[in-house]
Amino acid sequence: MDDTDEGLALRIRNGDHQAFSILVRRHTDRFYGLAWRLLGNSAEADDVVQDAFLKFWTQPDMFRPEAGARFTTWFYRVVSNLALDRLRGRKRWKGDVDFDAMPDRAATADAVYENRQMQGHLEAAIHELPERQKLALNLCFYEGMSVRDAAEVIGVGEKAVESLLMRAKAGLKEHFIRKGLAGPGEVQDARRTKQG
Amino acid sequence: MHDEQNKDKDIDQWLSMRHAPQTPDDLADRIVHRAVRTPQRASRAFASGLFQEMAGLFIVPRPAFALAVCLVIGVGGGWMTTALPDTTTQTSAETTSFDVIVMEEDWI
Repeated sequence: MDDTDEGLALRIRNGDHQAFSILVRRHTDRFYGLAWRLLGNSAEADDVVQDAFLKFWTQPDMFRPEAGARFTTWFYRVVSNLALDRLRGRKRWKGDVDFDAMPDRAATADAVYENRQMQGHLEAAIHELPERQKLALNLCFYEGMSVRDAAEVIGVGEKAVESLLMRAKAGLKEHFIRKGLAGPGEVQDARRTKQG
Repeated sequence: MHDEQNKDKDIDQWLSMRHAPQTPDDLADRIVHRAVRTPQRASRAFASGLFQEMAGLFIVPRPAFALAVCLVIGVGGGWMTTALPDTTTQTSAETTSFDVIVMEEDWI
């Protein structure tokens, strides 16, 4: 039996619940990650992923593998569109990152606090970016997508994605300079010195 | 140039410190359970197939040929109508009323 994403998508057209279950379990983590990174909120990311999968379940012929489309690329577009719609409705980023849901990789309480502060700054900086820059950054940096695939998801050319990435990084740099923040390298050096 | 590369590296380092929270354990289960209770919509492929079939009834296999035939029939029909002798005949009532008008108005 064809257990590729595209094969499962074809079975879902015939109302195959098992195929849907396999596809959902295979990709939930990946798409939840994207939704969270775009929205910065666990509850909303949860809703977006549910809505996206249920939309696909109710209208499976929206995805056309016959035309050579890849499920993940197509579904990235669905999830990012739903997330961006929510962001537009929200107008401004709330700045309420739920740190408690995030993994703490630091050993000491001080380090945990520092990490959270840095994550807060980083989230704020990323959410200040225009939506397409933010999307390009998330797809290429965090989802590990090629520029070509990201271009397909965003619906622009490859050159445009490269430009979006460059501008996103420049925007982040500017944000950090404006806020007078040291780079993580400097922070880590300072931490090492303190510990030493 | 070297400084720029360092800055880029620094930004990448910043970015790599960003971690998404773990996916809720029951998210996939919730999605699957909701799907079980949600019926699939009638396939758009079926609807579009039906529409295409209906539209197919009106498709002319050789449009140029069909247009030419229609033109010939139209022109021929029109020519036949005008070429026919005027077969309209006056009824006696019409003749009488004409005569009355002529007499009264003193046309002739």
